[in-house]
Amino acid sequence: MNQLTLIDELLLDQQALTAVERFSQRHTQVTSPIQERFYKELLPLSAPKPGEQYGFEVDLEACSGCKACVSACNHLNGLDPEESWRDVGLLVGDRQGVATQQVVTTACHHCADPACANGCPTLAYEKDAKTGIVRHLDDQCMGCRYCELKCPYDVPKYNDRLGIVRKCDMCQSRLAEGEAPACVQACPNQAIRIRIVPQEGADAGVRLLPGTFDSGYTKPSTVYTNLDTSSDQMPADAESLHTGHGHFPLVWMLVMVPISVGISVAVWLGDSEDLTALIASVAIGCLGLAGSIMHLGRPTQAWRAILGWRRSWLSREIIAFNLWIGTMIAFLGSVWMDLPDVITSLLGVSAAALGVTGLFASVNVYADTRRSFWRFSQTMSRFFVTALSAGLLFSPAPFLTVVPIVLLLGMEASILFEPDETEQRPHDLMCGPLRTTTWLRFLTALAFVGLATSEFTSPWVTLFLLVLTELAARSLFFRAVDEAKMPGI
Amino acid sequence: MMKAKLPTWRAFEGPLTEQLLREPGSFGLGQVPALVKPDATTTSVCGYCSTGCALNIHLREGEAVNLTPEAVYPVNIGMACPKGWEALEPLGASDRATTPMYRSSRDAPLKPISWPEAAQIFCDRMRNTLNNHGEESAAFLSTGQICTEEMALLGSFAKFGMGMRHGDGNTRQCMATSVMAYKQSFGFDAPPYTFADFEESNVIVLIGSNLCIAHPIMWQRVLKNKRSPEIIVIDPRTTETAAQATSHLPLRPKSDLTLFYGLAHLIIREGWVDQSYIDSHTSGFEAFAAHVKQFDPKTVATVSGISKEVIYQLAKSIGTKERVSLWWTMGVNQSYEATRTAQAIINLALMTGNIGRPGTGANSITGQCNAMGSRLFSNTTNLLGGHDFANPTHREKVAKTLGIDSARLPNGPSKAYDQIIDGIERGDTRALWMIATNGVHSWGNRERMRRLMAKLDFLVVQDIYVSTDSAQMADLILPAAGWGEKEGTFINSERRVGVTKKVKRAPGEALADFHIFRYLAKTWGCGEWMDRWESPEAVFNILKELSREKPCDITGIGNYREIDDAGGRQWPCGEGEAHLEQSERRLFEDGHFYTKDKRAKFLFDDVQPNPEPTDDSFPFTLMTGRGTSAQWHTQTRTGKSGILRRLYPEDAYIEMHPTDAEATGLKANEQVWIRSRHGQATCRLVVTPTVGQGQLFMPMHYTETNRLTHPTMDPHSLQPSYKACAVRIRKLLGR
Repeated sequence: MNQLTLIDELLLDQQALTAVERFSQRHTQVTSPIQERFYKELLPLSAPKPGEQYGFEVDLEACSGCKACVSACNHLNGLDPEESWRDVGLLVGDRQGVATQQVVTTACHHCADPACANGCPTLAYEKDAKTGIVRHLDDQCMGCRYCELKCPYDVPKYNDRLGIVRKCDMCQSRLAEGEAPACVQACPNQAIRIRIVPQEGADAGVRLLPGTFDSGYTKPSTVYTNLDTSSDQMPADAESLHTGHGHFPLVWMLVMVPISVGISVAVWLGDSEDLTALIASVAIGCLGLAGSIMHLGRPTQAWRAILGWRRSWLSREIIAFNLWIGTMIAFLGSVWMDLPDVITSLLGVSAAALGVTGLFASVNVYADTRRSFWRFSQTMSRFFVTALSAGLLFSPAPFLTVVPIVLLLGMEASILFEPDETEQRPHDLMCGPLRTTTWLRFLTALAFVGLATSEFTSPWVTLFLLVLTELAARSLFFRAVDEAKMPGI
Repeated sequence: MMKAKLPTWRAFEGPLTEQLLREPGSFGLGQVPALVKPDATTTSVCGYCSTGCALNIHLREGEAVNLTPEAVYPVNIGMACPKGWEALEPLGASDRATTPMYRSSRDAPLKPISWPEAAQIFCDRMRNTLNNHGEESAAFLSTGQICTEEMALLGSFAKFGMGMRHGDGNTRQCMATSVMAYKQSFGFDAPPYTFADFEESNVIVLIGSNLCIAHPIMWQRVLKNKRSPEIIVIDPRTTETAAQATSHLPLRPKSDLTLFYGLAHLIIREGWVDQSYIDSHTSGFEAFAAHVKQFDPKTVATVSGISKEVIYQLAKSIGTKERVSLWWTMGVNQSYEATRTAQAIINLALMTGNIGRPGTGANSITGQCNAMGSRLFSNTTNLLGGHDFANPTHREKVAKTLGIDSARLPNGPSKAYDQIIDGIERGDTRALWMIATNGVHSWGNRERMRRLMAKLDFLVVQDIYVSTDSAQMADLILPAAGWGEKEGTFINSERRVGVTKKVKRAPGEALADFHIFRYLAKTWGCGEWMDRWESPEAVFNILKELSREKPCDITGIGNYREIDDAGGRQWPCGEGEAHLEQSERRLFEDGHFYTKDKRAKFLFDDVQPNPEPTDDSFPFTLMTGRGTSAQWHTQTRTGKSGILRRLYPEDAYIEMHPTDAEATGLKANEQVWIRSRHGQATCRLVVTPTVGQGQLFMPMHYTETNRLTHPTMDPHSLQPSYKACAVRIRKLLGR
C-alpha cells in the first residue's frame, strides 16, 4: 500500500485544480456579451456615412486616473506582457494658487490624414474606407520603425519579440459585431466612448490638448471634452527629459553613406583613376547600407519597401540608395577594367546623381516627421556637410574640408548657447543627459579640424576622425530630438 | 483608386496577424483573444484591496489563462482597476520562491532545503527560543493579504499550539485606528456601511482618502449616484479625487481634528443637530458639546488654513442635508491622534443622525483585501471571532468550540507591531516569523528596522518571492503560493465575505499558506485538536461556529459554493438569515449599537501637538501615501507586471510646490537629498502645484520613503503616523 506523507499530500493537493468541478458554472448558455449593458450607450447607433468615421471621445472630467483601460487593452487583445495600445498621462495647472489636474487617456487617434500610413515604405497601414480605422497590417511590416518617428502622438510601438510595430485597431472586429472596444468596456467611469465624427479633421494651429502636436499635421479623429481651461494646464512630464531612441544602425548608415557619396563624387569630378579612394567609397557605402538592413525587425521583408514610393520618403530613399550602390559597383568595375570612357563617365554621373538624390531623400525622411530639430534646412546641412567634408578630403584642396564642418559647428553651438524656443528641448538634452556625447562631438570635431589643417597629410586618418565626430553628431541627431507625444506622467 | 492593383503585394493575413485574432468567447464574454479563448470560467475575489472585486477567471483545462472583471457581482459591477486586471501576472515572475531556503549563519548564503528539513528547523529553533526565553520571545507578523482561514490557522497554531504570546499584522499600519475607533464608539469593530451608500448620499465627504486611485471601483459607485451629490474632499493635497470633487478643502497637515471639532461646534451653535437621535441612541453628548465650544471658527480657520466661510458651508452641508456620508482612509488613520480624529468623524455622523439610513454613515474605507478578516479572525489583538482575550467567558467559549483546554489561551491581547519590533532592541523579541508582508520596507525608520532584523536570533519569512527586502534578510524562507494558487475567503470593506479560488498551479514546491501552517503544526505536534483544521472550508465552518451570537455572526452564511452563488454575503448573517433577496445591507438601522447600553458614545480628547513639528532645520512637512492606482504597498507584486510598471514612474520621487522650488532654488527632475530627524534619502524632484506650500509628498512604494519617516504611534490604536514628518531638502551635490 502506498503511504503518502503529509507533505506529499499537500504538494499534490497544491497542484490540483478543481474550481470547475466544485463551483457552479455561470453563463454557459449566454451568447451575447453581458458587459453590453454597461457600454451600449457608449457606441453610435449607426455606421459612419461617407465623409465620416469612428473616433474616440474622451471625457476628461469623467476620467479619474484609474488606468484600467491600459490593462484592459492588454488583456482583451492578447498583447504581450508589457504591451498596451492605450496610455495614460496627466495635465496639471495652477488657477490663481489652486492646483488643477486632469488625467488623459490616449490611444491611436485614427487620423484623417495618418502620418504613419503616409510614411510607411511597405504600405503596412490601411485606413478603412468605411470606418476610418487606421489598421496596421502586421504581416506586411518589415519593422523599420519609421512610423514611430512619423506619428506625433507616439502611437505605433515596436515589438521586440516579433520585430514589427503593432498598434490600436479600435477593436475593429468588436465594433463590427456591435461590441465596444476593450478600453470603452473597461472604464468604470464611462469616460471613453465611440463617436461618429466628420472626416475633414482639424485645422492647422489647433491642438488636441495643451502641449500636443499641431493637429493640422495628421488631423486626429479623437475628441477630448471638458478640458479645464481655467488654468494654463501643461503635461505633467513637460519638464522631464526623455532622450530619443539611439537607433545606432541608422546613425551608422547616415554617416557612412554620405561619406561614401562624397568620396565617390570627388573621385568622379576629379581624378577617376584614384582606384583606392573609389574602392574605399564602395566599401564604406556597402557597410553603411548593411547597417540600415540590420535596423530592420524583419530584414527578409525588406523588398516590400519599394511599394510605398508614391508617398513615403523612406521608400524613395531605399530605392535611390539601392540603385546607387548598384551603379557604384558598376562604376568601380568600369574604372577597374578600364572600360571605354563614355561608359565610365555615364556610370560616374549616374552614381553621383543617385547618391545626391538618395541623400536628398534621407533629409526628407526626417524633415517629413515635422520635428523642429529635424527641419529641412538643418538636416540638409548635417547630411550634406558629412558628404562634402569627405569629398573635399579627396579633392585637390583637402584643407578645405574644415570649412563646412566649422559652419555646422556654428549651427550646433547656437543650439547650445542661444537656443530659440523650438530648440529648448534639444538644448536641455544636449547639455543634460547627453552632455558626454556633446563633448565628444565637439572635441573630435576640433581634433578633425586641427588634423586637417596640419602638415599631416594622410586623408585616411583624417577620415577616421571625421567618421568619429559625425557618429557623435548623428547620435545626438537621434537622441536630442524634440519629442512629439501625448501628455505623460 | 489604385488599391485594386496592390493586394497581391500586401499581406492582409498571415502568422503575425493571427496572433491578434479575436473570437467570440462564450460564457457571456464577448470577443476574446483567440489564443486564450476559455473552455470554462469561474469567479474569484481579487487579492489586492478591500473593495473585494470579483474577477472572472478564464480557464483552459482548469487553469487560468486570462481574466476580466465579473459583470454580475454586487461590488464591482463589471469593472476592475489595473491591479485586478493584472492579478495573474505577478504569479509568473522569475523570482518566485519555489523551495524552502535556509542559512545556518547570517553570513552564509541561503541554500535550498526540503520541506521536512525546513519544518524541523522551524520547530526546533522556535521551540528553543520559546523554551529558553519564554513565551514572549518569539512572535509573528502577519498580513491583511491572506485568506481568513489561513489567518485563523496561523493565530491558533502560533498561540494555542506553539505557545507564542505575541503576533500582529501589517494591518496595524492601515486599519488599527478604525478598529479602535469603532470598538470604543460602537462597542464592536463594525464599519456600518454598504457600498450602495455611495450611490444614495446627498453629501459625500471624503477625508484623507484618494478614492479615485486608491479604490477606483468605489469611485465608480460614487459616479452611479443619481442625486447629484455634493462631493467634498478634505485633503492637504489636490489629489485626483480632489480634482473630481465639487469642493476641496486643502487643510494644513494634521489640522484635521481641530477642523472636525470646529464643525461640531458650528453644527451645535446653528442648531443643526438631530436631538432626538442623540437622545435615543447616544451617550456623552453634553460633555462633547462642552468640549468643542473652544473651537470657534476663527481659531479653526487659523489652524487649518481653511476660511471661516468654507468651514461654515461644510458644517451647513453636514448639518442640514438629508443624507450625509463621511468616509475616511489613511489620511486619518496614520496619525499620532488618529483614533480621536476618526471618532470626531463618527461624532459628526451621530450628532446629525447620519447613521443607519441609506447614504449615511461614518465609514472607514479599509485598505487590504482581507484586513476585515484579520480584524475578526487573526487571533492577535482580538481573540478569534471578535472575542476578547481578557474575558474569561470568551476564552471558555472559544476553547470549547476548538476543543482545547482554556488554560492554553493567553489572557490578554498580543503586543502591537511597534512593541514587537521595539522588543528586539531590548532582547525581548528574539525570533520573528513574517508572513506575506515586507516589514523591512513598510515599517518606518527603515535603517533601524534593518538593524533590528539583523539582531534577531531567527528570522523566518514566508512569502511568494525570494527578492523582497525582508526575505533577503531571512534565515529561513518558506515558499508560499500566491493569490490565485489557493482558496479561502476574504472579507471586504463593507463586511462582505467572498470566495477566492485556486486557478493556477504554484511553482516548484511553493505551498498555500494554509498548507504551510498545517504542515508546521503537524511537525510541531499540536495534538488532536488541530485535526479538524484539515482544509480551508473545514476551518471556515469552525469560524462560523466561533462567530455565533457575536455582531459578526456568519453562522447562516452557507458553504463556499453558496457564498459564490450569492455574490458574497455580508455579516451579520445568522442562522436562517441568509438574506437572499438583499445583496447589500448596512448596520444600525434600528439605532441599537453593540455597547452595553446599546448607545453609541461621543468620545473626544484635547488636540495634541504634532510630535514631529517643523522648525528652521526641518522646515517642510513630508506626507506619504499612494502613488498611483497601479501600485500596491511595497510593490513586491505590482512591480512584476509589465503593464503596471508602465503606469508609474520607475524610481522614487518627491513632489514640491513651484513656489517652494523657486524659493529653495531647486529645479524639476533634479536629484535631491532629503533629511529628517531619523534618516536621509535621495530621489528625483517633481515640481507640481498639487502639493501645498511648505509640504512635500513621497509615494510609499519606494524604499527611500521610509528611510525618513518615524513610527510615532497613536496612543489608542498604536498605528504609526506616516503623514507628517519634518524634513529639509537640498540639491544632491555631485550630480
